[in-house]
Parts: sequence; structure tokens; C-alpha cells
Amino acid sequence: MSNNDDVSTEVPGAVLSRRSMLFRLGVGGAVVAGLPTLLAACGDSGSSGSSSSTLRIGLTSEMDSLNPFVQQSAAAVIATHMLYPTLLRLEGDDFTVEPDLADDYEVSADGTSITFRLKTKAAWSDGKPVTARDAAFTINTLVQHSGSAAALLAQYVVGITGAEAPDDRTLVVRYSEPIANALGLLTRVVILPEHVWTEPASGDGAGLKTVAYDEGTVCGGQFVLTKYTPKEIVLLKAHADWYGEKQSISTLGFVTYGAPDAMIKALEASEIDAVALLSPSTVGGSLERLADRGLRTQQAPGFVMNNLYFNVNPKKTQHRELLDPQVRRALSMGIDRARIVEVVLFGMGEVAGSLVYPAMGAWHDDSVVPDAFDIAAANEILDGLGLARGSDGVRTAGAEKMSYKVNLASGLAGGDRILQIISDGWKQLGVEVKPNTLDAAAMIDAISAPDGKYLTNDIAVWGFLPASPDPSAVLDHFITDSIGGFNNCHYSDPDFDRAYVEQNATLDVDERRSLVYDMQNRFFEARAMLALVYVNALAASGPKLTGYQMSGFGPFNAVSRDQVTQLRLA
Amino acid sequence: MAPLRVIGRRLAGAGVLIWLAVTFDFFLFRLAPGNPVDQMSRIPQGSRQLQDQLTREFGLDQPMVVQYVRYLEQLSQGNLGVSFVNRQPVTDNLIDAIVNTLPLVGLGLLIAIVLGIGLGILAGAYRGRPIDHGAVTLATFMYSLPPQWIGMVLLFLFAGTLPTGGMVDQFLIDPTPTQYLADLGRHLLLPALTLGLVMFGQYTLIMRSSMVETLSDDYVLTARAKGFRPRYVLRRHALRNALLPTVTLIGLSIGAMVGGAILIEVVFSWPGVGRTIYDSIVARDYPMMQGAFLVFTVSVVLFNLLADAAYSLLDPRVRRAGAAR
Repeated sequence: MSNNDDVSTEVPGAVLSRRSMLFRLGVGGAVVAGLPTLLAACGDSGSSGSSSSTLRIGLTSEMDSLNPFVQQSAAAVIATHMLYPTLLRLEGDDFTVEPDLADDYEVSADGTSITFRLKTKAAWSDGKPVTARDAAFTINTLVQHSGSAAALLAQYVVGITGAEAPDDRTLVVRYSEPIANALGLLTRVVILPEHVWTEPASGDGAGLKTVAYDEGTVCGGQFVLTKYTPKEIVLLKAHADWYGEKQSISTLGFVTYGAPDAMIKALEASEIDAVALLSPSTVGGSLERLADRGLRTQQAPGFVMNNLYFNVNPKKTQHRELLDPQVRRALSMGIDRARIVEVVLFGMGEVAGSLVYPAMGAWHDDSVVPDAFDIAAANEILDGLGLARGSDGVRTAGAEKMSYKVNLASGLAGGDRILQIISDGWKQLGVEVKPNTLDAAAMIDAISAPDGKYLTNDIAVWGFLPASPDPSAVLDHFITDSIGGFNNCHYSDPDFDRAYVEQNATLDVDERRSLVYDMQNRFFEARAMLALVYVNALAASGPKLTGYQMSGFGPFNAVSRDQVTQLRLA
Repeated sequence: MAPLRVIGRRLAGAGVLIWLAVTFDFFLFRLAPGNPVDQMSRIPQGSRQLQDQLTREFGLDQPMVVQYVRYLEQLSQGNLGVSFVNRQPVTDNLIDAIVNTLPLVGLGLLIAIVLGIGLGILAGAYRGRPIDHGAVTLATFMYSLPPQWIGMVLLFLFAGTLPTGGMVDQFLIDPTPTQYLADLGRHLLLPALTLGLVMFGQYTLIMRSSMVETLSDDYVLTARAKGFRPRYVLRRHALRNALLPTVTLIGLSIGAMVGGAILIEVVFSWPGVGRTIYDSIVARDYPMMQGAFLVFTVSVVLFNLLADAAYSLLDPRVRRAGAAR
């Protein structure tokens, strides 16, 4: 994988050579020993390489790996999509599918094959041409190892039986059945150079996960890799032989920050030019200060949704009153969503009802509106169900008090304030909340406890961000097959499952939309998950940038490279 | 007892301690809520098949005792395993992080020692006077503050003047060693100062109490009675002996250096061991957690041993007591 001539440690492509490591050790020692000299030298730190064509982007999400078979961090996926070609891309606010490496494409009448004609000018960074054989190899590798080494990417090749390249420019992708979002899914498949990845893909494909990245890595996308230091930076330079529109940015750096506040300070100090995505609950209170310092913030309806999940497993062992949809409806009416938007999101969001985001455009059913905050009506429902208040004001259901341990994800921005607002509302209903804050790993454990049986959890508060703007990306969270995965509710409805399969295979847009609307309504009525708020995407940039475009995924995302292409530096 | 036997006994004790720590860590990490497979398989259409495959791949399908024996076998060959997250050898990941951490914690410790011991000497020498009360109050106050809070305050105060994060300006093109050194120094100042401010209090308090004790010893009174100037008595008679307890503290601090400063590294985006430990815990990356804590344990035990040895060298009473046993 690596063309690096430096003397590296035993792993090919390891990011730190022995020579540079010794240099850094020596420098470290010198720094500790020679502080006074160092301080004197501070005034002469040399000139930064950041020029007018260098764009420095701050992220708080760590780049776990640039290897597409390993990476799970959203930031890493963004960088990888800058490095490799894709057949298609999404463009604009409405995420329209447009040809990318492909010049054009044709979907067969029955929807079971797509034929692509590829551009002729595309080349890898080692000079070899990008051909249809590379694309066929990539897709077939993903299909072949979808249950093992390529499992993380398997979702993008669902239904594909294989790909073939009759010649260097023609690619045929075949499906077992029509897939409504087939084109959208292919925008997520990065095309890899066959001549580099053949060996790692051999056998059981285990080698795919161990490929390391460095400045010699062969790429063919908009940029090539010049430096990768985990936890620090991914530095890319414009690919001279890129097949796409010529861009003004010659160097693109993604700098990782440990804390959002530190990243904002870095933007204010012009150490970076833009930040990829901010949480309104984290920085919402300081937007005026940012504006005063000449920084620009932009927002758009986003793809982050914060939710409350009930465990609706019929076999759950405690608080079985929560299996009653009427109880869940009353609890939903006890949540002041508008206050969450106002207090937690500083107004940068929207109360949520449907599982499908407004940012998904026409797929969102406007008629699915959240339950109105109505304490009196909610109390009436609970009273009507015979859930009487005890002497302490807390209702009882059977022998149990309606006092719930609510598992809260520590990573959910503003989560503690959201839970406080829920708790305030529910207190008026005679329902007690006991917060239990957990990190992601412990949260998954708690939701499915014990041992993946979903018996002991009652309620969880968490958020999610779908991988694509297609409704399937959220609807699939609640099919029965997702129990053990994203289905935090243990929601299982055969009709919902059938509708999911059907909409996924329906090529007619209107017909599919109708199915998606039905699913949204069906899921909403069940109230297994209470959508709380849709969170706006928020980003900030310095004065150096023009053409900075927002989308629901933020200005820099793995869904579309369009934003970077449009950027101009003053 | 012959010195070699003493050394041998100490080393054997250290070995047992390390083994106990390794064993404790191994089981503790696996008994903590959450596991890496559930996190990694939490993807759209993440199937049971994927979970099973990852469980097998990570060797987590084996009984815990079998995993433990395999881990010990691996360790005995100097192999710390492969990270579950980035699939690179743990040793490589850790070497990078340790190399990054040493300058930060080294400079932070230096600031803490110089500031802490200096204030401790002053407080001890002027016992009961305002300077004593001021030094003790300041030391206790700073020691009680959360490191990340001090870091954020410094960051807000000096952003724009000094870099807010990272170890070097990654956009410097082919820096000369001097430029690299200067750039590293600028990036180092705030996190090292934070660490120094957090740590100096303990040195002040220990140094002060040691000074107070030493200054009331008979030989110090004798020196004063002989008519030596107070500053001479302080420097030549009291200070040397009073410094002994801080040797142990320095030894322990140096040992803990390898562990980094987790929250300070997070605030200042410093790519050191602290952040590595933090990230590996969040991801339940068992091999990385085991490797990081092993290095941390070995480092603390080793420097503790060295502090003991230094103590014997510096204080003949300790040496004689050791030889008599």
C-alpha cells in the first residue's frame, strides 16, 4: 500500500517512522531540558504552510482510521470520500444523484441492472488509469465479504449479486431484485484500485482491515493523502489528475480537537478556517460572540434527531404498564418539546413527530405532528387507566411505582437538560424519573440487558444521525431484524417489516412515498419511540471562505463532496 | 543482606505487582458494562452474523480464562496485541502516544517541581507568617481545582497568543529543527503550565512540612547556635535533608508521566497517552486498554524502585538500615 521510502516500523505504512520518532524524542528531551532557550525561540516559530489555497477544517470527532473497511467515525468517512472516486454523488440541498466517475448510467426496465459508462480521464495517484475493472473489483469484494471483513460497507451493496466490466469504460451492476435507493447507495461506495487491494482482498478478506494509510497511499479522488497522524490531522492535497471540476483549494486539512470549546477558540484565533459541524446545545449561547469576532455561522434543518425510546418487548419483566400505547401517549403529552428546542437547542431545531426528518424533503409526512404538551389531558388518560397517585404523588401501576430509571447517553449533546425538561413534565403527571447516564458502550448494554434479551430496560434517551438522506436509512432502524442493533425499542411489527421491504423495492417514487408515509404514521401511532426534536446542522467559518454551503449533514460530509468543490478562498 | 539479594527481592516483588495489576486490569475491563462487538456491529443492517464474526475475530468467543492465558502467552513474547479499533499493533499506537506525552508531562512536572519546592521552602522557612499562609492556601486551592477547568481558563485567556490545541502546527511545510522546536514549545506551554499548576501544590505541602520538621532538628539548632547565618543554615543544613521526601514524590510523578494527563490532553487536543487511554476506554478497545495500563503500571513500579534506590544513595541512614536487615 505504501510507497514511502522512509525506514518505517514493522507495519507497512505505519504513520511514524523510527527516524522521525527518534527526532521527536530528542526534541521532547530538548524541550524539557532547555525551556529558557525554547521560550526565547518562541517568537520565531517559522511560517505556517497555510496559504490562501489551504483550507483547515476543525473536527471534534476523531479519525479512527482512513481504511473504509475499519472506519466508523463520521469524520474519517468524510476524509476517505475525498480520497477515492465514486460512481455517483449527491448534489444540492435536495441530494440529487449526479454522475461522478460515471459519465452516464442507465437503469434496466426491470430495475435489476445498472450500466455505467465511466470517464476516460480518471487516473490513480500512481498514474495508472481508473477503469471499470476497479469498480467491478470493489463492488464484488464488498459483496463477497459482506458478512465478514466488508460488513461495515455491506449496507451499500444490498441486493447486488455482482458487477462486471465488459471493457475499461463499461460497468454493469446486477441486482437480485429492484432496489429503490440503489443509486443513492452507490454514492457511498468508494472505488478502490484493484492493483493495490487485490492481495488484501484474497482469501477470507481479513487483509482488507489491516491496510494502513500514509502519504504513499494510492488514491484517485478529489484529493490525495499527504499526511495522516491519528488524533491530529489528515492532510490532503488536490489530486492533479482528478477527473472532476477544477477546484481552488490545493490543500485540505482536517484537524482533530478534543473539546468543542477549544475548537471554537482555534477558529477565533484563525488557527483553522472552518469547523465541520457544531452542536447547537454546546455553542448556541455563544453565536453572538462568534459574529462579533467576524465569524460566520450557518444552519440548516439537520439530520440529528433526539429521541426517547420505550422498551416495548412483550417479555419485559418490569414496568409492564409501559407496554400500553395509551400510557406511552400520555407520557408523550407530558414532554414539552418546544421548551427543549428553546432551552437546549437555543431555538436551532424543530419539535419532532415523525421518524422521517423534514430534512429528507418530500419523504417527510407533514401530517405526522408530535403530541401537544398537555398535562391535563395526559393526567386524564393516566387516571382513566386506573393508575392512581400514591401519598407521595407518584402513580402506581400494579405493585410498582411509576418511577423509571431512564438511561441517558452521555454523548448526547444537551442530554442532561433534555432529561430535566422531561422530568419536570412527568413530575406533573405523577411519574418519577431517575437519570442513569452511560457512555455509548454501556448504553447499548443497558438497553438490551440482560444478554441481548431486552428485559430490564424501561426507557432510554439517545439520538441518531442516519448515514444517508434516504428514508430507508431511518426506517430500517425499527424493522425486526434490527433488534440487537439500532432498534432500541425492541419494536417488532410484521406489517412495518413488510412495508419496509416493499418500499425498498418500489421504483415508482410516488408509490414509494405513499408506503413511506404509511410507515411513518404506523410507527408514530405505536409510540415505541418518541421523536423529541430535530436538531439543526450548525457550522462556523472564518472570513477567508466564500461559497460555504450548508446542508443537513453540515458543510463537509461523506454524503456529498459538492460543498468542498464549491468553496473558494479569499 | 547482600545488595544483590535486596535488588533481587525488590525486582521479584515488582514482577508480582505487575502481574497482579495485569490480571486485575484484564478481568476488570471485561467485566465493565459494554463491549466492543456491540458497538462495532451497531450499524445499519448489522447482523447477528457480524456480531459472531467480530466476536470470533477478537477471540472473545473463548472462555475468559482461555483469553487470559492467551493474553499472558502473548505478553511473554512481548506482543501487546492488535487494536480492535484501527487494527494496528498496540505497541505502535502506544509508542506514538508515549513519545508525544513525554515532553508535555516532563515540562509540566518541571514547572510543578520548581514552583512547588520553591514555595514549600519559603513557606517552611517563614512558618506562621503571611507568606506561609499564602503559599499553603494557594497550593491547596490549585491542587483542588479540576485540571480541565484550569486548562479551559488558560485556553480562553491565551487563545490567539498561543496555540489552542495540538502538538505542532501541522501545516508547517518542512520545518527546520529550530522551527519545529519553537513550534512545539509554543504548543507545549499552555498544557504544560496547566499540568504544572495542578501538580505543584503537593510539592509545596510536602516540602513545607519537611522543612518545618528539619528546621526544628537538633543539628539545625546547633548550627544556628554556632552563629551561622540563617540563609546558610537553611541552604547547607536544612534544605538537603528536607528534600528527601520529595525524591519519593518525584519518583512517583515520573512514573505516572507515562500515563499522561487524560483531561489536559483532551482539552488541548494533545495526542498523547492520556487521550489514547480515554479513546480506548470509550471504544472498549481491550488490547489498547490493557497495553496502556500495562505500560503505566510498569512505569510507576519501575520509577518507584528507582526512587527507593535514590533514597538509599542520598540518605546513609536508609542505606545502613537496609544493609542491617
